[in-house]
Amino acid sequence: MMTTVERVVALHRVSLFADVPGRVLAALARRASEVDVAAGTLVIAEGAVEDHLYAVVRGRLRVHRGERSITVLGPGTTVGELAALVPEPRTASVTALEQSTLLRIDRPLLEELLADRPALARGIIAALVAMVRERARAEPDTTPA
Amino acid sequence: MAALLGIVANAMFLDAYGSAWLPATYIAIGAAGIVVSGAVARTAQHFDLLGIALVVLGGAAAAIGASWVVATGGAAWVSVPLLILFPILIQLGFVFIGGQAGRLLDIAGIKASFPRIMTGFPVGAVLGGVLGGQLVTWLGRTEDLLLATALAQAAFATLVWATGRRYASHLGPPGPGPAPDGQPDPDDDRTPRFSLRSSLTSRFVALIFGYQVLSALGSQLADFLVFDRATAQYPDPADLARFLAGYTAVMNAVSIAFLFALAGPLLRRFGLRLGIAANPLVLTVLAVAMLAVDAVSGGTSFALLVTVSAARIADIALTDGTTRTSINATYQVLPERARLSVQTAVEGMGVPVAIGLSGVVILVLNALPIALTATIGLTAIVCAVWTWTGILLYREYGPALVQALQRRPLLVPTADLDSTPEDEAVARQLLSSRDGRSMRLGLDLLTAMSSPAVAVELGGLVGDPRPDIRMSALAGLAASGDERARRQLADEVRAGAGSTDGAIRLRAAGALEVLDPVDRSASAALLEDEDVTVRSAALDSVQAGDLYALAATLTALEDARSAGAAAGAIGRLGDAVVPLMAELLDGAGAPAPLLVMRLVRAATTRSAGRDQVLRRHIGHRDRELGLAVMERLVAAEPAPEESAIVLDGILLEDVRHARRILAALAAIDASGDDLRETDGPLRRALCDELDLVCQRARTGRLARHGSALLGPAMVELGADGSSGALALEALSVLLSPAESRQVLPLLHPDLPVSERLDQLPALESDSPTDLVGWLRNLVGDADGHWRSNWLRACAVHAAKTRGVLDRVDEDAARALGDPIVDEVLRSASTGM
Repeated sequence: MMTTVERVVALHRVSLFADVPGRVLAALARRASEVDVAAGTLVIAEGAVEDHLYAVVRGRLRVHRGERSITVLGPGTTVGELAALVPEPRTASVTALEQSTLLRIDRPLLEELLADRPALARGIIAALVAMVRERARAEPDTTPA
Repeated sequence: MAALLGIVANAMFLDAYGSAWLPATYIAIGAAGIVVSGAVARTAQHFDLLGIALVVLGGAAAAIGASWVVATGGAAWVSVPLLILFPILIQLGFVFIGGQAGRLLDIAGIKASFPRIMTGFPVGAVLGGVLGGQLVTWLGRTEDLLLATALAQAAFATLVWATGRRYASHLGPPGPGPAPDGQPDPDDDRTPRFSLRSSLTSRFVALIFGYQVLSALGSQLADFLVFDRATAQYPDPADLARFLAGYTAVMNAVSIAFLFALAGPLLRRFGLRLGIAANPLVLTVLAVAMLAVDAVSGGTSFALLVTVSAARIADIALTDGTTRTSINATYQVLPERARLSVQTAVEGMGVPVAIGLSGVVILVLNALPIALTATIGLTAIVCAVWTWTGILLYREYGPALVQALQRRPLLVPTADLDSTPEDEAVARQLLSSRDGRSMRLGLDLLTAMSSPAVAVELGGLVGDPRPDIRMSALAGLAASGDERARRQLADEVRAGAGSTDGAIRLRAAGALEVLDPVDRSASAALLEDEDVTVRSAALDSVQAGDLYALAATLTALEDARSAGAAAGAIGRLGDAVVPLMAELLDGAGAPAPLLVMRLVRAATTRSAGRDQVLRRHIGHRDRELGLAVMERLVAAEPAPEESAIVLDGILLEDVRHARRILAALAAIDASGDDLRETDGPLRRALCDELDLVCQRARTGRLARHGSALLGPAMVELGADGSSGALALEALSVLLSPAESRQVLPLLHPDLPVSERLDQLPALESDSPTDLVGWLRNLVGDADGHWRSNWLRACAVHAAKTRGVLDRVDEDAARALGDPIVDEVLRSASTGM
């Protein structure tokens, strides 16, 4: 089990949270859920309506539609950001490629962070735009999970 | 090149016409300088710096080469245009070098590096002097030096061309920019044109021009006095030559040493305050000393010669070292497009005008029976006026910097949102739709329109069987002043508030804002609705004076989902929030509860009562809360005297805290072992803390001096814009010297830890000296300096990973009862 300090270190590696001071991020990190998944575990199922995102701490995840791979995510990346902001059915599935550790961040935690740090919204928008662009390049008709 | 041209032009002229005609050439230099520099300045409005420089310098090389051909034929008259060309070319050379430096370096770079660039001038003068004599020996005739001069001039042009190629992206043609007076062109708001005429009539540019003219006049008079007194002291030509050789050697040595070693650091330390004032002030003092020596020892005394020589040597060193650099830096406040034209006009014309003026003055004074005393007296007066002009220029420099940093508004502040007949037609079409969502959209559009015809449409909908449609129609009518509709709406809203349908409750909450306060309070339950969307809509309807809404708004402020709407309501409630805010602030410790922080951030409506409460808490122990309080107190005007004193005290405390953070960071950086990576969380926490202190310093100064004065510079620094150096320069001018020394090392975005540490005041003598000492200091926090549980947790983590946990005060950390600190301690004891 990671300590809060270690979780903050892991979240600071994620571009979405890179600019958030550790003392602020600590509150979110404490309440985030640590999820260990074995290789082959389905982390996100396409079509599921959920409102949380995952930050990858260790391991690798495959984003796919059916058998078609869209991208592979590693430590310092996030998956499912859009659903955490606006709950909609997931647009792709995510499966662990190896033993992985993730931090699950639920929508209320993200909302709390945004309520006190409105400036963060700018960083989140920038990170989302970058992510959408990257995935659009990978597969033009794919939107983020 | 200048030294060679000076030697050959003077030698040929004096040989042919004698020194009596020299003042006449001064006048000719003035007239020619105005014509040439004016033409170059006008050309600079249409062509880029590099092109103009190449044409001027290349043309001059060709002209000097042609004059060599003429001179070898025995035509001595060619020395006259050469003597006139000599000072004009020097000035234009300075303009081109200064112009290139101004485009390549920011203002801090100019202050640091331009004196060294200028070192090339006295070094060239020494080389020219040494080479000149040798070349005459080799070539056989003085006139042949012109060929060497033409080659040197061509080499200068080649160097300028090579620099232009090497830094093409910086030295290319400038883009369009705002007019120097900051006023947009009335004809085209997007691409304002630059006007040289309006630039030259601006007070700031006029002061630079006056300063430059007086500088050149003072220097010319001092130069004349040296030669005048040396001739009087040494009637024998051999003695005179020996003195002049020694004097020139000392002058160049002092100038090179000052330029290379002292000028840059002095300008960085004291800024343009020193750079603009030093030269005239020193010369004024020495001119007064000359008067005293003249009166006591007599005009032919050696003491007077020493004094005038010292004055001229100091003048040369300061002109090249501080004056030129400072004046070059002042041009940075002008738009890039205007800079070269203004610089050419000011320097290219100013100096020749002064030389011409000095020629007239010396001719007139020489006719007087007390020529020497009158010349020294005039020198003192000129230097005193020059000093005063420098003071005025420096005073004007701050506002000019602020103006340069101000951005033009991107949006027109008022926008015409009146509806058109087409809009109304679309709204009516939607209204007639059978689809409920389209109809509601049509209704929303229609109620937002101010057309009288809308009332008829809305009137037809007040009897609609659907309550949300009825409420929307009634809200539209009530908003246009229909009192009967307002009363009916109040009943509908009361009924809607109790509905089980969330959409109806949402419509009721949205309609609250057009009701009277009494009717709004009757539906206050909507402020606590279980549906956050309804709650937020009700909060959006809260208006000033709605005291009934206070408690519910505060509750909503605690919930992140409704915090935004609640913050807006708090802002509108204004003074009604102040007593509650005072109570919560009085009871808030460190760390302050989230609610207090949100309340302070939301209290955006300025009032005397609010400010009075906030001022009591500017120095709150929770630094983030203190920052939020300072943010709320920022106004266009400066803070009242008593708050200003408190803010200055807070800055001092913040500077000490920053010094502490930097020292701890330096200790981490110095640890230099494999464990450095393990200090990552602590390093980041310290950097975050430093960032907080920097924000406090920035906001505190804004609150202290007012956003009207410091706003543009702080905005530029906060935005990490391209004018960061200009913003720092503005702060160094607008803040007091003591304040600048405290604030600038904190606000400088790119300063490394070690340099920040060097520039900030020293710490208490009992501060830790190594990383373990700092870890102990952070964990124990016996003096209450750190006040951050997060920093403590990270310090405990660092101590654990370094294996020095037994050397920090674990009990003090445990006593905090902070869950994150406890978690790290637990993980240490279980070896996790």
